[in-house]
Amino acid sequence: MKKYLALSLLLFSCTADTIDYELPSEVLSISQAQGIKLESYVVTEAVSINLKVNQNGYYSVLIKNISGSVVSKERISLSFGDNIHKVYVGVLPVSSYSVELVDEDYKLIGTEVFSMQNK
Amino acid sequence: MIKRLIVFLFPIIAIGQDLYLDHSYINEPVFQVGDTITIKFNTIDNNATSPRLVQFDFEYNNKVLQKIAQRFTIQSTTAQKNFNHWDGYKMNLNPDFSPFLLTEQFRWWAGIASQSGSYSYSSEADWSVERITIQDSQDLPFGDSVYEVDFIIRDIQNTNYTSYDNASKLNWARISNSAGLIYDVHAMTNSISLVDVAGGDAGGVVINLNTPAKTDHAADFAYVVSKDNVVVATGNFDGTGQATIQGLENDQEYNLIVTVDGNPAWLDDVITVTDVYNTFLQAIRAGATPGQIQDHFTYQMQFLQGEVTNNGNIDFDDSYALLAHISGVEASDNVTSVANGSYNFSGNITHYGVSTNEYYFGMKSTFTPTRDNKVFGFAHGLRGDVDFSHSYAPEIAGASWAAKTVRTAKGAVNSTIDVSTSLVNGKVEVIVQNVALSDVSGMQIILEYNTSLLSFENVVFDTGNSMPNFATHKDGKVYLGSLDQSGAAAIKTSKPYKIVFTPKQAIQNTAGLVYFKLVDAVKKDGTKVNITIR
Repeated sequence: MKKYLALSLLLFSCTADTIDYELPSEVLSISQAQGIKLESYVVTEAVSINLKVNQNGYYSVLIKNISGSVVSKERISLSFGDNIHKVYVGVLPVSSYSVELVDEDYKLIGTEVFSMQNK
Repeated sequence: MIKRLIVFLFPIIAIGQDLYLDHSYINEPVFQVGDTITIKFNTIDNNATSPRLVQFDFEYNNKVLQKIAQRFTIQSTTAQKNFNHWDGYKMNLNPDFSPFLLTEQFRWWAGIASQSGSYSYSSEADWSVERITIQDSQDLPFGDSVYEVDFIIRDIQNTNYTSYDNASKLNWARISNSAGLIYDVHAMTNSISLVDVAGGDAGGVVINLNTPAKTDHAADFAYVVSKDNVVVATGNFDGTGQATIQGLENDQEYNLIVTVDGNPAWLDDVITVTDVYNTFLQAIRAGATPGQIQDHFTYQMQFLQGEVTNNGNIDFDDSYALLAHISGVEASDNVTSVANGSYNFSGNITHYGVSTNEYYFGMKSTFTPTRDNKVFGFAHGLRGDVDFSHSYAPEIAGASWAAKTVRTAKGAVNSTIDVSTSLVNGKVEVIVQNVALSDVSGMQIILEYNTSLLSFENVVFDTGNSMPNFATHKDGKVYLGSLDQSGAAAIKTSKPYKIVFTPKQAIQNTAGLVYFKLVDAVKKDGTKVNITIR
């Protein structure tokens, strides 16, 4: 009985860890303390993105077109470490874009470039 | 004394000529490429000469003239006549004597009197040489043509020649009497040049497109070239707004129109709140005092581009039709938009924008390539675009009057806004805030959103109590904004707009779900404001 109880406690404790914290896949992992990384650079509808920061707080994700104009912007709360989110691109005209992560003072943390696949 | 006399008379003796050899065409200019011309040769006496032998060489540029026939025209029945022809040679003249002194050039060629003429002809593919020899037992006549050659004027496009200068030249002449005395022969016309030769393949004719829209959309513009209502060339401009058209002829007049090719998405960005507001102010025509009437527009073309209801005047019907458009509703078929298509104006920039009896609003559609001019500029404009954001603002005299850049895209000022999209209590909220300009009387925003993931819910305005607002939702786009056409109120700058969407499924974040397609604003005085999202 004690053995089953210990085993079930171990299982629950492991389960709790995976719910609270999504580990980045190898392709999304960032070795630096903070940064940004896309899962794919040719995108159709949506793409996963790792927004890694070194402190909890509010940040902005900016999508800029080829001429550098902001066409979409999200203000988001991020936690220390890796934050796996999505960038939705289905509404964007087919082109190439950059996605940037900035802090509340507009200090650039990281930038990536992706291209829309022709529909 | 005799020595002095000889010295005194020497220049006269040296330049005295016994007779002339003439060389000229007998046709009436102006010539066209492909015309046939005839060059005749005849002698003119100057010193009571009695020529029995006439022999001369001439050469012609075979890239410029194509020989088709020759004939002796001398009337004597006793004369012996002969001609020789060589292709690929050109004479090196004696540099010590004028080309007009044909006898001296003969001596150079023949090597007479220690002249070194051994190499006086050298290989030259572009030139052909003919030698004419006429000998008679009686004196040869003067004045009448003795020999004629027919040539076709060739097209010099794709050759190394840019003109028809020096197409044919006399090289040398030997004319002597029955005793063998060689006369001094002077060329009356040493070389023949054809001026004003019209026609011929124009080669690459370049059309430069003039419109600010070419910066981002040059390849979306198409051209049609026609002559006598027959289309001779069509195509699209390249990424720099240039088209090189082949197959046209010099000195022929062609018509050219420029249009937007198809209905690209950017047509919905052409008419903005600036156009609406300025058209409205033109409809009011308020002067400095209540009794005064004064045009608000400062370009002739604004009256053409702002008239979108086909009633011939700028009035409130026009401003209403434009306002409806920016609100997402097409009230007039004449407003340039994706739904309606493009309404194009175009013309040669030499006249564009200045009305004359000949050209309506200066829209001269013609151009004429010539040998010297093969580059033309054509302007393009769009109906409804009174601020010239996507239309050429004419620059020739008379196209505009004082303060011409005010209230157009050229005179625009810059400003910024801040936007943010975020998940708030399960909703997606788009906040537009911090308008960095205080006297904005109109603003327009077009948002496109992901219809697979979001449903539009509403727009919350906080623009000021007296500011008229609008918002429409259509085809995955939200059209919203504000416009106080009286110009009395200004939009509150803090958080004037909040657009709310409901997610159709669980989402973690909102990046890319909403796309700012267009943001535009206008100041109270009609000045366009270029908005940058921070």
